[in-house]
Amino acid sequence: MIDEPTATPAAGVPPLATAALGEAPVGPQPDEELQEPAPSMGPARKAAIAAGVVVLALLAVFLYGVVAGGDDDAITGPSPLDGELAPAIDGVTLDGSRYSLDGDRGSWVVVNFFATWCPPCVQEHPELVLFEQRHAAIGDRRVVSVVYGGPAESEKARAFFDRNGGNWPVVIDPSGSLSVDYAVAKVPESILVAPTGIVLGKIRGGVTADELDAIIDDVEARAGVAS
Amino acid sequence: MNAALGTAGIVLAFVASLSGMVTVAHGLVRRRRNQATLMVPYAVLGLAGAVLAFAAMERALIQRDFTIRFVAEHGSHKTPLLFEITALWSGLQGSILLWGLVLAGYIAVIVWRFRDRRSDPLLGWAVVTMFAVATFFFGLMLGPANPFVRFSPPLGFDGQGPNPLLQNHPLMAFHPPLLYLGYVGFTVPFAFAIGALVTGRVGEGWLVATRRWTLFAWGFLTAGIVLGAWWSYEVLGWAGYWAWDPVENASFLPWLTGTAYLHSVMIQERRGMLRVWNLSLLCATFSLTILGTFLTRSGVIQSVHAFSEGSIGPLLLGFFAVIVLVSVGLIGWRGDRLRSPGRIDSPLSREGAFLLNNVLFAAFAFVVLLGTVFPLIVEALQDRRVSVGPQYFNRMSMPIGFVLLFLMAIAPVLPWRKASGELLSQRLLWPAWAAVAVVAVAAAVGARGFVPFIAFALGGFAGGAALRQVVLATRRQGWRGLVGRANGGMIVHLGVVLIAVGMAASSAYLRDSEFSLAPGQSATLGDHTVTYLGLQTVERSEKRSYVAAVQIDGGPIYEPSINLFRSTGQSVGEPSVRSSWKDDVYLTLEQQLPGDDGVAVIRVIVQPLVVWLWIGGALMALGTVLAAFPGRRRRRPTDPVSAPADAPPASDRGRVPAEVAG
Amino acid sequence: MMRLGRRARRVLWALALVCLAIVFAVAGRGDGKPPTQAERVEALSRQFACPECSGQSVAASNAPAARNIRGAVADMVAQGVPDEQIRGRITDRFGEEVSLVPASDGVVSLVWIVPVVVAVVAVVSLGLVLVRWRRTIGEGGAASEADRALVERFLAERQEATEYETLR
Repeated sequence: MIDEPTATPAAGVPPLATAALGEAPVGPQPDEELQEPAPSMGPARKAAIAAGVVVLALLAVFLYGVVAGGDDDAITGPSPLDGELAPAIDGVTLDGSRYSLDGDRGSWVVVNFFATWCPPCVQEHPELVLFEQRHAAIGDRRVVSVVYGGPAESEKARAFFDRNGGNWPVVIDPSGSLSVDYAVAKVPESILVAPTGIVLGKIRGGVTADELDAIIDDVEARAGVAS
Repeated sequence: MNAALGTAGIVLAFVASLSGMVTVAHGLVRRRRNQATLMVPYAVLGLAGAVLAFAAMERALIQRDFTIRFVAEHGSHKTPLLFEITALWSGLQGSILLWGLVLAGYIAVIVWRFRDRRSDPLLGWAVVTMFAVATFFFGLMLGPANPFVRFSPPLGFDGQGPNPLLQNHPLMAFHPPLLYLGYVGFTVPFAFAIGALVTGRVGEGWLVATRRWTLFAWGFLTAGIVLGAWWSYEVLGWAGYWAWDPVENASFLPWLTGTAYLHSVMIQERRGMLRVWNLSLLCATFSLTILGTFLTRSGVIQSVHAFSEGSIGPLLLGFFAVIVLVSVGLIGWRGDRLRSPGRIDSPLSREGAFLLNNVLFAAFAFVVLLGTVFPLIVEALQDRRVSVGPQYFNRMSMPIGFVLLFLMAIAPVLPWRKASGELLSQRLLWPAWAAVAVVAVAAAVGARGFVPFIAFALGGFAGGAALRQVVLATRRQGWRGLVGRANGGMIVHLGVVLIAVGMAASSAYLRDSEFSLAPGQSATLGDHTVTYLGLQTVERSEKRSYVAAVQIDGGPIYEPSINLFRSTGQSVGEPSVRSSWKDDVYLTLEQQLPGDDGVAVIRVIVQPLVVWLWIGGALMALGTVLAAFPGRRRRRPTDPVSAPADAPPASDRGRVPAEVAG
Repeated sequence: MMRLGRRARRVLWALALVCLAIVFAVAGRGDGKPPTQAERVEALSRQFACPECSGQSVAASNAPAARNIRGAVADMVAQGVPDEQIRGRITDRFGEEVSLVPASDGVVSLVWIVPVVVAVVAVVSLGLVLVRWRRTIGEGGAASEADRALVERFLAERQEATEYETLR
């Protein structure tokens, strides 16, 4: 953008300038209007146009950012897990028994990552209880919770389940490796695992029982049509 | 009461700015000189309105007047008084109010300072520009960023107070206002640039008149950035001072173009060259402050520092577009007419060095801007989400930084117009030995590594050159050798060198470790031993603090803590730092609270030379102040055209080279 | 400042360069030790963004998600997984967004290439311009009518500025 250098490439001004400077009398200021640049574009104008174009492009990008910026809060966004085989869960539950996700193959499983300090997790809990109770008899749609946030959380989670109910396996995850396997960024997150063991999608934020059923019903209906 | 006063103040300021803009512009277009005299009362009224609004908001915050929504959202009975006062700039609306106050202050001072020149059209257009900017910001406060929106608090309501991170450290009282003084201060040179473009006046007179203003703005911005880095270091808990976060970049971008301008303007003053380039730099600097505000206030880019977001994004974007289009349009219209006939005689000259300096600073700004907005660009093009992190910025800016350090060593000893190799070898000999001394000391204390050693060598070289200039100047002129732009500039250079060396050392030799310690247990990291003594719980009105007592090297006790803020339930760690000129020991208590066995997890980070950053920042601020004092007076206005290269002897500094008649 | 003869100066310069070379040879190459596991974990966790917090790296954040990733990285380092694979596994899981180091493929590589191209073009054109100026110095320069007018105007401008200065 340093356009100056190209200004007067061949004109040797210094001698002239020196000559002019040597003479004391200074002529009247030339009429400014006569000095208007010639119709051909000078370097400054070219540079200005180039800068304008670049800035306009930048503006378009920002405008896009402003307009599209809202979709950050989307509840179900694509996740790299979609369509993959669900990462194995094979761990100890709060009551000391073992749980394996493979054992639930054949049913829908909602893998719910939660923490007791997270308000939306506390809020969604009754909905999960409702969902689990609806399907407890048949067992075709199950819930498994994973305690999120380190070893100190396990004790609190036990007290939480004692107080708020919830009759499903709660797996502890002291090292956080399950949270990494499922790419949990911000609890609560619920991962829907199909009876085939394939991840259908991830729900970020709180869920409701009806929402879960609606999603699963929808998939089953479409699969039914297809088959 | 507060809300009514505040709204009245904003309305007053808005109306005064709008009328000021319209009246002065009308007078300029119609060539009615007497209308220009009205700029003084309008500026005073605008300032009065802004002060009224600001005072009303502070009063409301101090009284915890929850009938104002801003106070309800950012104030709390539990918050201590200091952070209740600083709460004004912990939210969007308050920040804009501060912006408005600072801007109104600048306008009033400018109008007062130049009151004898009121009929000068260049000044007139500059004032119109400033009134226009003020109109926009006070307009924002009447619209989407209204700080005085009412709220009806339920009985016994108490607010949440400012974000916990913003009520942890007294630096909060200084860092944002200084940053705003810098940010907003660039409005002044920008306005004069617009004035010069509109009137087509190519003389350097306005430059001389405004360069001190630019220097002030730059100095405040520098101090604001350094204090911001210090705040990050003291508060955020990972011992980092600069993370190339979008908010940091937003303040750094105008700093880069402003720094480029401060150097290249000297070529214009001396040689009458680079007019269009300098005007462009000023326009770019101001546009970048608005762009930065947009980026950080609109939520298009995520950042830890983005404490105040709101719905003003599109308006700021529109304002940015208007500024850029007006600047670019004016430069396109007038630029070719402002061009100067001068040229640079030899690349090995002061002006050659400044040219390269400008190319590098422009490249630096380009890299930072590109990296900051690149995720947006990719998302717009491909719907692919990427991040551009510190590694990118470090890798790209390091070579630029090294070349700049090298230039910092060479340029101050270069004469204007032309230098010989002989001259350079004479003047740079001692700086070169300074470089040798610095790396030798570094090697002697056990430092290793190629990249940091390059930084040390270049730092010694540049520091030696700056010191040489200071020594020569003080020897020649006594204490006057410390003031004036060139001399103050050398002090600033010394500060930059300290910062560069501090950054190189602290990032290259950082040691970071986490220890689980029972009371009485010790751990060792590097040369330091930390002993965990125990944990206690401290109850305060706004928070409950878990305070660990940790002894460093058997000496004094430091207390990293975790604060649980009652209003939000958020827990925020508060590090504790033992600083010395040699190294910092940075302690944080990790979030896991000790179990029954009393074991606490303590993270220890040892970094050398961190204090040099803050000393360097202080030196930069000091140098700026010294540079703002008038140095040796120049009798003549600046020589605008090239004079023969052989006329003056290779004078080091301070002289106008060409002999001017008349 | 001491005045030195030309020869003494040459010797001192040579000595300085030799000293620099020696120091760099001794100290300028790192300690040669391969990074420890802890150092690798530290370096790797600086390359990932904490998915839960905006903008901070995993190393800088203490949020659970950041701790989890740090733990996973530490596990993989302990198992001897090479850095490149660790990066791959984490970005596979959490998406490309989590990597703070932009990729070098497709559109994203532009973020690396464009600045280099721009810098090279800028420096080269600056050099070309300086060379061109240099060449014109010798020619004595035939001043055009436009140059004459420019100089006229600057002189007038300066006159104006002088008047202003003296008025003050």
